[in-house]
Amino acid sequence: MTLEDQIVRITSRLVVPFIQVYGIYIILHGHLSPGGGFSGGAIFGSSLVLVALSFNLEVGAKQISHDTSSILESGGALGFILTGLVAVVLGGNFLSNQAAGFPMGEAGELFSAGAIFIITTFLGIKVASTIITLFYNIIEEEDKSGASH
Amino acid sequence: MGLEQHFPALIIAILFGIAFFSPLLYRWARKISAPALITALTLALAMSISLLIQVTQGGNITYYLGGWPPPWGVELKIDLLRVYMLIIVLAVSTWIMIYALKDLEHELKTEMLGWYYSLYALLVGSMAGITLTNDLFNLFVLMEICAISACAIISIKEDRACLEASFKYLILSAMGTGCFLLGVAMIYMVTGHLNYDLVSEALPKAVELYPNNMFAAAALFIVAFGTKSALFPLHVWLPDAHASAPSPSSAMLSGVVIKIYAFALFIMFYQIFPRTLLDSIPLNEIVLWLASMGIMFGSIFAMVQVDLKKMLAYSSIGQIGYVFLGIGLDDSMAMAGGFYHLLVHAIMKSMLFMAAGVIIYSTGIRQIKQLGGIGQVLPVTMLAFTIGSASMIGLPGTGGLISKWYLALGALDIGRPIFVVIILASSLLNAVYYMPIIVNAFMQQEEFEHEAKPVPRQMLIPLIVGMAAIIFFGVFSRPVIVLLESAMQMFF
Amino acid sequence: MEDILFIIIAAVFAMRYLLRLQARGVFTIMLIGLIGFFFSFTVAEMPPFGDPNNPVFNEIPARYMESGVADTGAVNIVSSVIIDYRAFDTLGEATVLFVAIAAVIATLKSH
Repeated sequence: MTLEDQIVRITSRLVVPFIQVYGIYIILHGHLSPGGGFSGGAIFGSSLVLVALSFNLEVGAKQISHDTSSILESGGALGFILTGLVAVVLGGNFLSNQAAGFPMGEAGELFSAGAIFIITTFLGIKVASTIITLFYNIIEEEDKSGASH
Repeated sequence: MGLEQHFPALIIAILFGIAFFSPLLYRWARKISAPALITALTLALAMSISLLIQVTQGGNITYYLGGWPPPWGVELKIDLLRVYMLIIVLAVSTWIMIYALKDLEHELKTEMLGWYYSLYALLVGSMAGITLTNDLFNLFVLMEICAISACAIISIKEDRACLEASFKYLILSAMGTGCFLLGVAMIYMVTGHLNYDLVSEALPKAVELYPNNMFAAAALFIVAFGTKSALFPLHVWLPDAHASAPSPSSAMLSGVVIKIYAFALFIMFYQIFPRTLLDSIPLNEIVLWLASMGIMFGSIFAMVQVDLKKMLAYSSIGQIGYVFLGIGLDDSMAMAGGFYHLLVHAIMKSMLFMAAGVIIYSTGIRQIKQLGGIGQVLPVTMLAFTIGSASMIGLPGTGGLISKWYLALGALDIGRPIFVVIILASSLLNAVYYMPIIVNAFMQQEEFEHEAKPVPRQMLIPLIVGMAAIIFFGVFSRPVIVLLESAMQMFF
Repeated sequence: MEDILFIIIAAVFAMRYLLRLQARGVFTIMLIGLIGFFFSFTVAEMPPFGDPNNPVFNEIPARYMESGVADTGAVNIVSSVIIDYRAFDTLGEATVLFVAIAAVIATLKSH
């Protein structure tokens, strides 16, 4: 291991928790400030990609296993649809928010805006796991074909 | 009104839901993942039939997603034509999936089946969405899903030719989607609306103020939907993609996917663009002549093919031309014929691809000239192939005759007998390339020399259902034609 | 008019020389140039960017801005539009991400 490796690893170990907290912040504040599920999820996902890049694939895969990642992937998208269906059960139209009677809370508070908060969270999970799954699938395929040649 | 008022959204939600769930289901409970998909498709089909009953009894239905009315939210709209398309999409895809359960086992790696089910459900769900949506941007989003999943169900097969064909399809399809987005941007810029009805209200004024933008938008739409539905000069991706895909994917792509875009083009030009625009540029003429060239050249290219599936794929280029002929003729009878052809061709081309799939499954043969005497070993399959071909040619008693009859009547109605000649000529050409296969399959004296695996019943029953459907729509065509003619009232 | 045409043709031949294109490439470039030429008319005709009288500034953004907070409870108007007013489009976009993953896995794992 060279010195450069060491610098990269220590830096990323320091930075990754902050990136993750920032990603979660962006996701949860989607209804309050610029950002939301897509951008927050991308930030969170890229923090795990950073781990895999600065250490190696095995260490990266230890952070979040492929199974967990694909369960989160499907789960995030299913959660979106289920939130829409809950609105139907509550008596509104598909994907409706206030009309279906989701608790709206005080505008500007963290726990407000009903379905928007829930859907943003699910979207964040979905996008983060999409980035991780996409990264690992392409990298591992590259690895496999590289080894076979 | 209870749950049934939510059916338009639930159809899409249930199909997307099963798509998201199916990879997990395949991992955890492999046995029930295929039945779950079939159940979801059947449920969606039942809901669409309920929608048909609602529409025939109570008129058009609109559904506000999220409860927001049109200018602000996304709207789904169900009228007779859309519910007709929706039922075709869902019925044909359920039917193909039942066949696919057995066929896919030998065409795909086992661990890929879960992803295939997922992609299939996404494809069907997005097509159902395209028929129902009443919003331009929503149409774009659904077209993206449809395009990517259509490419993926080709490239999922372990075969280099599939990758190449799928890549070509992906690039051209992405170009089509891009053109559509550019056209939508132009329309939004000059009207300020995305909802079909509001856009069509605002467009006559916009055409006067910004004529060039509207011409460009119309041109972009023709290119976008023409590429995706293989209108004649833009068909280059189709033969490879449809011929190399797994047979159920070929049936789906040739039977349903290309027609959805023909339908979308129809909606664009008859529901959104004002008649004044159609009068000032010869859009109808362009579509008519491209369709006619597609009909002739598709048949001519099909004649020289040696690969069975490739021949069927080229034949699709000709057959989609009939649908565009119906759209271009601007006559309610011809349009009814065009949309009837859409139904009949969805059934017969899917069935022919399934029959080709059975032949490949059983004997591994793809070359047309090796098929001599195959009728002795695969009688049901070749009977299905015969009935499908008869309908392609337009012999009496099959659905193909009815649609050509109405198209010809419509062409005579507006005084364009040249298109009757084209329809007749292409029927002859169809006979030239379908007949020899059948004659060889049944009439050849010597024994069929290749060995044939026994075909499971699950693959033959869909073929029998298809034969019955083609003859049914050839004999009892009246109800559908009446439905289509009353659906066409909207546009005249 | 003739000047512009002359410049275009000269540019095409210069590019042919510089890029060592075949006749087919020249034809493609000319076709693209022609399409670009016609599209430039549409650009010239577009409503001016940011003009408050543009057709896009109609009742739709007005409602989003005026009663967005009351309608959806979200202070961020972008969120209220993409996740409430037009939530179905966002469901579609999330599905696009899912289908992209499914397509990548289907293509890579099967070969």
